[in-house]
Amino acid sequence: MSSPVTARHRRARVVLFSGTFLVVALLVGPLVGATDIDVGAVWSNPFDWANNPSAAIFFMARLPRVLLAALVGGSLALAGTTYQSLLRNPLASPYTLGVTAGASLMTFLVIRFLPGGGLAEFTVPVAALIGALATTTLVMTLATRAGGTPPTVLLLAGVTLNFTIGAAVLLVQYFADYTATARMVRWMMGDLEGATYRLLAILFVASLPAWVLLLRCGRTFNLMSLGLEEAQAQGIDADRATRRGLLLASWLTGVAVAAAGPVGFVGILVPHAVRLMGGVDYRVVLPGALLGGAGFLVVCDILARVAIRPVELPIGILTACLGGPFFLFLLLRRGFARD
Amino acid sequence: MSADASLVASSVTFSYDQPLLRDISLRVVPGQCVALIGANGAGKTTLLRILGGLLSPDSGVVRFDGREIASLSPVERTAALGYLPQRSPRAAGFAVHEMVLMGLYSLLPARGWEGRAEWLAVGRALRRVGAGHLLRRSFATLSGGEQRRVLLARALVARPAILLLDEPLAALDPGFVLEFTATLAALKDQGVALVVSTHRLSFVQVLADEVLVLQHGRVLDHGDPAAVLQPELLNVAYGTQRFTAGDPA
Repeated sequence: MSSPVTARHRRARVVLFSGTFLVVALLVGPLVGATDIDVGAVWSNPFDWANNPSAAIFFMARLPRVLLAALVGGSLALAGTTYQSLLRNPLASPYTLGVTAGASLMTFLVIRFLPGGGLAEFTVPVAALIGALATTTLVMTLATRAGGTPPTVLLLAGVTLNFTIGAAVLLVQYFADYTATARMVRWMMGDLEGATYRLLAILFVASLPAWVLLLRCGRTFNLMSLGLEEAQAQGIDADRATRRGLLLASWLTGVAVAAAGPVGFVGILVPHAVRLMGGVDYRVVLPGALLGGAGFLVVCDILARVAIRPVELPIGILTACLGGPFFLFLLLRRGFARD
Repeated sequence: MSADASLVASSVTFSYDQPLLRDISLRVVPGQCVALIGANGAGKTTLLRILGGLLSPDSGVVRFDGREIASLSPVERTAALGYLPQRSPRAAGFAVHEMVLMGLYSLLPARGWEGRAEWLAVGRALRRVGAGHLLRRSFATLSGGEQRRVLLARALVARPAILLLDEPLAALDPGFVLEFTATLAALKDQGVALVVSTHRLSFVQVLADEVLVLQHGRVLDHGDPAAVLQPELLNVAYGTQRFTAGDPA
């Protein structure tokens, strides 16, 4: 038999395409925004920020923000891909198991009860991360006590916690003053403005191991996406694979939400777009989602900054505006349902 | 693996809310076919899943080549066991050749890709089950019978020592039942051991060396099919009075 177009070839194609998309987005991203900058001047005296406003805007405001968008977008798309495989649900997203609800609750408690000030850069992200991870741990514990980690049990536990914690979130919001409420609402829309090189370094170091480990799970995710019995019959410890994958994906989601708030749709939209391009083999989808998600969020951030200049839109609104219609397009596209 | 590798289940007991299997023992040697028969819910699928290491028994043990099934590495497991599940997965988006290739995953290097040898094996396995023409089709768009063939090819592709087949004849047309029976007979001749759960008693008579009749999770009887498959026993096993002399030819 002649070798079919193999996953290896498709992966090369997808990685080349999504990688090029990311590089172009990263090159364009820092050049555009609410204020025009002199691109030539940026490089003429790049570190004299006091006398070179273009360089200051480029290096201090836009470059870290663009890099933050890339890190967050890549992590969310990779996490979404993982959730879709392990929960065997194409609508699963990084937030399906209640990560956003947990992060929101902790963040809102911090906004409501802790004063701002010097530690504000860290208190909200740390609180969000703790909330995200605590919720994931709780979902897994509840699912285990209810009979293991089959997708249905996990989904039900996640949805239930989403509603329950969501009520607590509303309660905290109800008793907050107007200033705190405004901060909470703004946080829920996603925010890349807090990007600093220190934050980027922490984010990169925290995310890299999870990226590497998840990128090596392609074959396991292919089998897991068919069902637990299918995976077990090929020697996979399905329970262990589920826990490991969900913990890694939840870690990435928690870190991303801690850095930028709950940015929606990236985790659903990008994996499906990659599948359209390169098929359903997770050895193709995982790297494609990481690169494509990074590029996608950078592009969304560019649009958020230029759509109604000089006003900047929250990134979460842009991803929802683009993501919603695109997802409907995928849903209505011929062949999507059939296959 | 030794030349006389056999699959041995000793006093296997298993329960969910209620006992599903009680004190089942079984031995399958190379080149032998053991058929599991019994009414719906008798415990055939549960027993096959325990034999394949997909479920852990509450008590008792399953060994292959003297080693507990659960202790086999994925590579050893692939060489030892091929498993055909009772139900086909949804498998949206995967092509037939990708599905069959999954039967070789554990034999690929940790970070490697499939090569020419694997694709040749996939083609051979598909042709062996009469599904060579389906190679590039989408698995999800195949008929139920075609999907069974593809899954059987996946169970065969790594040339395992033992095949565990759960209702392999379900949804197959009569012509392919004959072809499939001949394929299994050839595998037996090559030394492959077979454990097959089925409702087709004629298939049991043609192919099985031993039949295990299950009822409510217990072994009602076992032995040579010609001796065991008698109307009286079948009436008890299936809860009917319809089997008469002359059945089940």
